[in-house]
Amino acid sequence: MRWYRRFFRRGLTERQLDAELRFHLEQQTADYVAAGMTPEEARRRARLEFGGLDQVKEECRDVGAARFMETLLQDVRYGLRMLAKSPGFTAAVVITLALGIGANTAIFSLANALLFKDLPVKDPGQLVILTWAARKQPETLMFTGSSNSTDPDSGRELMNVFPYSIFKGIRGRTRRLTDLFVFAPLGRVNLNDRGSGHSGIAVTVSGNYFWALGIHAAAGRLLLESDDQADAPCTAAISYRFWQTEFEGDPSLPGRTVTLNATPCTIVGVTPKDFQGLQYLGFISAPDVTLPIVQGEQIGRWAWGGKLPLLSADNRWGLQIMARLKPGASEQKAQLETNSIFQQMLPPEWTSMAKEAGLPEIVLLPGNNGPNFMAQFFAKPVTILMVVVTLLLMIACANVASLFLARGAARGKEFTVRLALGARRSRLIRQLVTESVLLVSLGGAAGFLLAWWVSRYLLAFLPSSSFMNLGLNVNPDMRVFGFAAGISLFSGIVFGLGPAAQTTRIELSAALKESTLWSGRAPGKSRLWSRKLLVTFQLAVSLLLVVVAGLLVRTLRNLKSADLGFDPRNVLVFGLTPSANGYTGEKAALLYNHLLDRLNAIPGVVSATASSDILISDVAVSGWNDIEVEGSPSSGKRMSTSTNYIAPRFFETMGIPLLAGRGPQTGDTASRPKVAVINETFARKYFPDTSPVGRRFRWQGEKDWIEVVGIAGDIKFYSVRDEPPPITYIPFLQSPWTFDMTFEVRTARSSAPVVRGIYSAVRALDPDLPVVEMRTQAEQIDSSLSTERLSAKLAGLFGALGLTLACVGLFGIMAYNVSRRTGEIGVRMALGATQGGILWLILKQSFSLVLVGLSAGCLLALASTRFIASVLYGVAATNPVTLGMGMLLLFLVAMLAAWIPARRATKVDPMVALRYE
Amino acid sequence: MGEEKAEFLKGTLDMLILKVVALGPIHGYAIAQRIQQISREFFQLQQGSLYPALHRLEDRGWLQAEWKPTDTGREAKFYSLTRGGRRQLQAEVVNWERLTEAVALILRTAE
Repeated sequence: MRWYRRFFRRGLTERQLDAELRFHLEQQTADYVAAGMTPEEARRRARLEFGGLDQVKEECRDVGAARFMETLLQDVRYGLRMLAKSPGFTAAVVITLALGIGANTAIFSLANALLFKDLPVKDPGQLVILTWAARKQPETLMFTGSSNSTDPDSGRELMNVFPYSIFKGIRGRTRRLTDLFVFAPLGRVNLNDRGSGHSGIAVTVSGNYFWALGIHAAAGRLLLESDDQADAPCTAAISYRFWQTEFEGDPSLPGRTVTLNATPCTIVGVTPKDFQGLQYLGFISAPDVTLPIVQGEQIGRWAWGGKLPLLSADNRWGLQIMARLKPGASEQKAQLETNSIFQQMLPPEWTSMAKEAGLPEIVLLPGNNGPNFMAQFFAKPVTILMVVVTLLLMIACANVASLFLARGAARGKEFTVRLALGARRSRLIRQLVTESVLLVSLGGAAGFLLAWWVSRYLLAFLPSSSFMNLGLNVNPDMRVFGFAAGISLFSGIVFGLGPAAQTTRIELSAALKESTLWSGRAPGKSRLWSRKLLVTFQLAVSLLLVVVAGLLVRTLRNLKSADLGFDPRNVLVFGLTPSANGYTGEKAALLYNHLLDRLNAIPGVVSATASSDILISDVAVSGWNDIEVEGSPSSGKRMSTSTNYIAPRFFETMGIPLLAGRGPQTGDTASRPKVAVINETFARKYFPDTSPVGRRFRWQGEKDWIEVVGIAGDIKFYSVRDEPPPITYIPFLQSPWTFDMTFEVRTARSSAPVVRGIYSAVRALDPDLPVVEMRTQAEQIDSSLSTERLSAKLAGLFGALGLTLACVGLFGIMAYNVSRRTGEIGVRMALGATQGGILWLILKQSFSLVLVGLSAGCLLALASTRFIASVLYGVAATNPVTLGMGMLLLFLVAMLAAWIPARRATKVDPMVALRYE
Repeated sequence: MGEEKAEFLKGTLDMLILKVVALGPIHGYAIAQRIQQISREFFQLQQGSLYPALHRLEDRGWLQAEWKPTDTGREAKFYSLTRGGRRQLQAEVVNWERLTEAVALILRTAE
């Protein structure tokens, strides 16, 4: 391409252009001088006659580009005309592409929102997260709220929490980082505004947090350095979502003083709508309330009622640090510098360990999308979905390629004529590529719009409880747009170029002579071959899609019907956070007992109870603890159990069978002998030989023995997937600290009046106490399966789409085949072939195609489904039933797709067919 | 601008250039001179506009160019006709003759 070369050889052509024009002017001037003019006048005259020199140069330079644009426009115009001429073909291609590209873009926009999207802050690319890598940590230090990950370089554990003193040290001495700020999760806070309670998730931040992030308030103002002073009055900012859902966007709220954890505090303003915090603590919750870190220290209470001395206690590492790289500073140098400051400031616990384990080292991580722990949660399902939609796109591309080949066949004559008239082959290819680019642009644009529209509904699949309060923004951004454009271009090249090359590789004489009656050696033959290959490929890939969908659907069904060991029906679940309001010890116990009495008295309530851990919540509140069993020699094998602190009537309310002994009773108070109920797994693992009832065990490192008074049936505890762990149930009044409890209420039938009763019962006891997340136990389980549900639904949808596209492909090739062989069929029928014979003749062909496709797909599925084995439940990756059903389904649908054209073949009228020539 | 001097019809300049170049390798200045001389100064040629046309024809592959010394020994860009250019010239001349014939016919018979 001349214009292209010109672009690169600009300097040379520019000099030549100059020389050429100068030559002209000098010659003219010389001629005029020879004719008797003065040199001055001659030069002036020459310039005048020549016209605008710069304009001429510009026009000369533009020649190549202009021609390029001209032919491009010509191609586009011609292409559009050709597409308009065959609206069926155009629509088929555009729709197929829109589906493929749309599915990819929608899933990518989800992946983008979950994994890649930059934080909506100023210059997110400058942000870094401070973490440190160590082989071992001193046991005297406490690390709170760290999300541990593994350093990919060294294999050491990476932690991202620091004490305030080290933050101050680094902030004071660094020369390569700027805008250092800290934040720490604070759990739930109770906010009471004019008599109504609201529960929100809180984060505490240093005073420069919003300023450093470059965020501006949606209403009122955000926190400032002056709010984070020891003597400053309590101030807080709330999130836009919290403002809207809890206060209906009340414009008078900013500036109002409310009670926050029973302390007066002023809401100064609202954070912007798209800002969802920095995704902290591995919990994927957007903070509702943001407090200065001094206030967090004063009014923050942890779920067990303790304060969190993040500012004052040096042995408590719980602050996450982020910063901005100074412009021009290299990340590596900043890391070295920060590391040396960090290592100098380490407390003596570290230095005494340094010999055996070395000092911890700072690792700076990119902070453009925040401390992104969503990645860990979603990377796997999102990857599977991305692969699935890529396969779908391949099927779609194969379809379009096949359509192109068929059209190439139909246009063979047109191209032959154009080639014979002297058109260059490259020009024809360019024409075809232009047409495919046009189609792809249309398809890509349609797909992008489709994705835009669909991506909003994708969110509906995701859990919406506040534990997983994602606050996702899936709106397509430039990256999504780029992705859509990229895959459109890719598919355009894939299906456009190959067929184009084939279509134009025409032997002139053969093509002009081509007869549709006896097309034995016509070029249509090899084209048919390519199409058959494409169909085989499509069938194989769609079998894989169908099998994956089948496996995921079965997984979801298995999870839904899994034996939980308890009865989740008709159980209401809600939380209370009295510890945030200062309830501890005796006072909390009294509150809980009063509330339980009131709950049990509500009409329609079968029984009410409470527990520290909700069933199927994916989180262990009370955690795992090591035990030792009385009379059993410590074999050196570690014995540990998960724990749940429960109120009386727990087993009754949850429908868990009590296999032996008794459950917790109102008399099991702190002053009484310590008792526990254990589950079957616990009994089997740690009391293998004897009956456990009456035996004793104790927590590792404590002296009080705990007597086993009962055995409960096994249940699924944290998640439906995990096998029942050993569980110890402790009467909640005997727990070492006061938990914020969750309440479970079994209702007789309709829960609506009971819900109202619960709200008024809580309000009657303490109007400052908000009810947290009222839901049913079934909803709780459902929300824990949302990822699986999303995967299964989407994979099912994409499997069906893939199957449809593959069948359209098969239908297309069979229909083409029949029309190509119309003459032959006519002859056969004229010679006495029966309709059944003709039907078989055509079906036989698709039969073998389908068989080859399915066998290939079967191998493909067997080879690749093991990659999703880890997300399956209750079904093997190579499950023969799923595979068999998938093959049968595909076979039936594919044969149906072949049947329709085959039927048409039997309707061929021999006379018409023969006259067709 | 003299009233007998005509502006170039769109496209005719290309044909005239091809025709002039068909006589043998020639540089831009000489082409301009030749066109004005032959047409007895009938065509009003803004000389600068010659060059974009030359470059366009070269770009289309109808002309090829070569830097050679002139009689006076200066380097100049000489244009000559390619085979494609010769075909193009023939086609344009045929078209032109048809056009003028048709116009003449109309003028003769429409009286």
